[in-house]
Amino acid sequence: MRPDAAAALSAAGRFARRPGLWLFLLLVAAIFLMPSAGILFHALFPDDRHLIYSRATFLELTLAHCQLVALSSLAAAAAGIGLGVFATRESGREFAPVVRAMAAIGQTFPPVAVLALAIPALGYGAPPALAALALYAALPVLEGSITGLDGVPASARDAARGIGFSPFELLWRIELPLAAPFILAGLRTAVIINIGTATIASSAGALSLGSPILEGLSAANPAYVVEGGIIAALLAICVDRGFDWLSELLKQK
Amino acid sequence: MIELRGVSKAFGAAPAVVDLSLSIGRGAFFVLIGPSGCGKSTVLRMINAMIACDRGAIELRGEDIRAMDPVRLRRGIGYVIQSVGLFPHWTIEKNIGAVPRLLGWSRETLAARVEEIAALLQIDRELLRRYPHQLSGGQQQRAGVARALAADPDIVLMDEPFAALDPVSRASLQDEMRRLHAETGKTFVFVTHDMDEALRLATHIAVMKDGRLVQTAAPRDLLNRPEDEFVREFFGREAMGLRLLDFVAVRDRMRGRPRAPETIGADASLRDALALMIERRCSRLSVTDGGGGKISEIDIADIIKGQDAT
Amino acid sequence: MAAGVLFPKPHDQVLLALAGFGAAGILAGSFLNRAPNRLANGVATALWHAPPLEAGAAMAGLAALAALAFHPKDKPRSAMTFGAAMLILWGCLSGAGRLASLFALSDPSAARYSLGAAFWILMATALLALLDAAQRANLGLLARAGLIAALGAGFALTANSGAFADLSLAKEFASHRDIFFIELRRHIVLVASAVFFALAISAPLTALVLRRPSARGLVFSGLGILQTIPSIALFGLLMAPLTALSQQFPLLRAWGINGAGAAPAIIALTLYSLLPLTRGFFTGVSEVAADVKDAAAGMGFSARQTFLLVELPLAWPALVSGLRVVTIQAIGLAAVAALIGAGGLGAFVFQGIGQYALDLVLVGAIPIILQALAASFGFQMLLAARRGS
Repeated sequence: MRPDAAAALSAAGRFARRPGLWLFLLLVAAIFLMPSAGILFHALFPDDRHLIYSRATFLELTLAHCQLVALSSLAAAAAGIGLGVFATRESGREFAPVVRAMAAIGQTFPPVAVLALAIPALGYGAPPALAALALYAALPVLEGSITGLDGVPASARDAARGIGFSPFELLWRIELPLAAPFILAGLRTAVIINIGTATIASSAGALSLGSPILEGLSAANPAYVVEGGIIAALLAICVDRGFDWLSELLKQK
Repeated sequence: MIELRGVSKAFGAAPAVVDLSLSIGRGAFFVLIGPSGCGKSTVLRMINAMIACDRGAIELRGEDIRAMDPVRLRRGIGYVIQSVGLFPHWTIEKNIGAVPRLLGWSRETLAARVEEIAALLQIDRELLRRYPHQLSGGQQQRAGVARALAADPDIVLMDEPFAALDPVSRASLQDEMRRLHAETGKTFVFVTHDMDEALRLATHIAVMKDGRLVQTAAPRDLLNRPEDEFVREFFGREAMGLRLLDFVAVRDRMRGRPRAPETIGADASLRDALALMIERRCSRLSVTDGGGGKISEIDIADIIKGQDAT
Repeated sequence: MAAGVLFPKPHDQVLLALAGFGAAGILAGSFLNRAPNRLANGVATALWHAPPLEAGAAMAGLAALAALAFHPKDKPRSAMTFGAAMLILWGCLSGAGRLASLFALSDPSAARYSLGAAFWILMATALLALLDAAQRANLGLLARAGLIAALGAGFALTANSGAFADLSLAKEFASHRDIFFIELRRHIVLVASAVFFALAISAPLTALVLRRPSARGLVFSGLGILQTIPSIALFGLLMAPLTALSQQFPLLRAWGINGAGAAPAIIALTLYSLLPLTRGFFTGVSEVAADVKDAAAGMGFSARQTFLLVELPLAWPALVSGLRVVTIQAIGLAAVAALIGAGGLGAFVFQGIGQYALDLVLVGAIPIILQALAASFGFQMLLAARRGS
């Protein structure tokens, strides 16, 4: 029992030293304790107005925000990796320069502008926000996929083919694992941008952590802005830490 | 075992292989040699269908390769390349077991086979857990050869496998290949541009130039009767005589009673004997048998005289 | 091989795919949306209802792209692709303008004509075809700049002649013309001051990081965390302390620094710019090979001379790419700053979204994108010019 307990304790100790964990706990605390922070906000903003955002709970806002980001990032990952794989196959080689240029030029488009263009094209609400986020996020993933897949040593590819890997096995067992760090880096960029753009998407009618911020701005109620801003910032930092952890995990494997 | 009939291949407008016919027998150590760009690697890569030929036919074990699934075909053929091409994200162990895993071998059979093949190629057990970048060039290529042999293919293709290695690793791997060939009786097709390597390893040598076959022969015959100036030139004209001495044992030329103080083993080559004479500044050596007893003598005149007769 | 006999093999699959994309756009989408007023939903009008000359030109250009895919020679194909793409561009722009003018003859003056999906898809098709042709022809940066300038000049001339006047996008632009240039200037000032402050801060920060390796982790991870915070959240979080400060110190208020407006925007944009700039400077200088610096020292260069004559010129490309990233990023983020009252082109975007005036959104969004593209291209030219010298 004893050594077990000691091991558990030291594991817990190691766990506790991870800043990501503490940030995550802070995020959870912020989501659930924000409604009870009324006194604090009253002290900060001497005002008799309603100081805690109450159109939706912060949990709902966070979940809606995460859903928006997760769905769009998932779609972006599928599209970006798919297109990257296509552009690095023999049959798609011809498209590689155009696809690469598109990814590079597309990323100079500000994400807000892409969101703004999606509204005339697709209307208000969550679906156009989703589409805009996915479209924009696909670009860094695409770039990472092409860089990663192009970086697979030609000798490894030749050897794999020569000893009898089928094209799919070559892709699945050799090329994608070797490209994974680059794809992950692209996905990380995409997700972080998406978390930011999703806050702005609330201006187009999608529910997100941007909703209290925007309402606070338009009603000149800084408490709402701070509430939304703190949770949105913590969420972004936590997710970024999560990607740190993921890429370390990938390196160890 | 491998049959090429009238095979041609061009890349764009440039012909790489022109109307080439070859027959490689079971158990041969067949070396394709020629200057760079002569098409020897293309021939090799056509045998495992990495490159499709434009004209002609290639048969493996009596079956046309066009009728076979290229992936299945390649799983039955070992393949080693100069740049090794170990998979950087896999341990050596996993690299060696790549083809058996593709073939769906059970975990136990796979582990046993990796063990066996590593022992055969004298790869340290400790190295098996490492990643390719943690190994030296020679160790990497040992692992590359092990990977090619893991699924026990009866044909092994090697494309200048040792060209990038340092001389010591190269010599030791060449010895390994000779031993492997003798022990397993597999058919090896080996591409090189290094004639010493070719003469050392081959049972048959095919000399190529500009996509065409110039001469196919056993190494000794090639040195004795080079087809034309190109072959003579390629095998180094002046040094050809010396190279030929490699293929004759002292045993075959010794005569008379042993009187000289310096000794040489009966199984050494004439080249070794000549080298020893030059080093010791003598013209005669006593020949010893395996037990170390002097059995006869060899004279420098016999080394030189005998050459025309062979 | 049998398929090759029945169907000739395309020499440029990209063009064929683009032509297919454009054709699908024509068939699926509306070219122009005709609405009775600014707020109502429009009725879709297809490309073939546009005046025959323009509609024909666009479709002929598209067909030419498809046919060109089978042209075996690279050079003439690229040259003709330019022509076909121009035909599509002209057909779309002029077609939309003239179709709107035709509708305007019979409609009440409140009617609005907005550009539809087919229009945008065709424009994208033509621009991508141009891009592909420019890449295949291996066009240099200068030639590309000339091409872009020619395209821009052609567009400006046509626009000036009033060809687009009846499109609602042009109407929105016309009715906001005066503020437009004010907001444009504000936008540029926001970006320029943020880049200026970021440069001023990141230079000593880089020096610190270069001298004290122990500070490296802290500085970069700190800036990295800043970089991940959503822009609007950072803007908002800066507002509260700034408000408090300006209430405490009337002097600040007198300078125009308060919770809303340009101050928090410029601070936030500067903070976002620190990481890419510092990292660019740092990698640029630290990647100057040690033996080069050694050689310079060996020849008797002082530390100052080594820095000015060796390290700085060799680090130049990394500096410029850092500046490029930062400028593009700031152009985009400055748009968001409109939400905290800092103005800029983002004002049109969010005003448009709020009023459901989608063409007003475009009045803001298109210039933002063009600015970002121009900045990107300009820095690329700067890099190329340096490399060429």
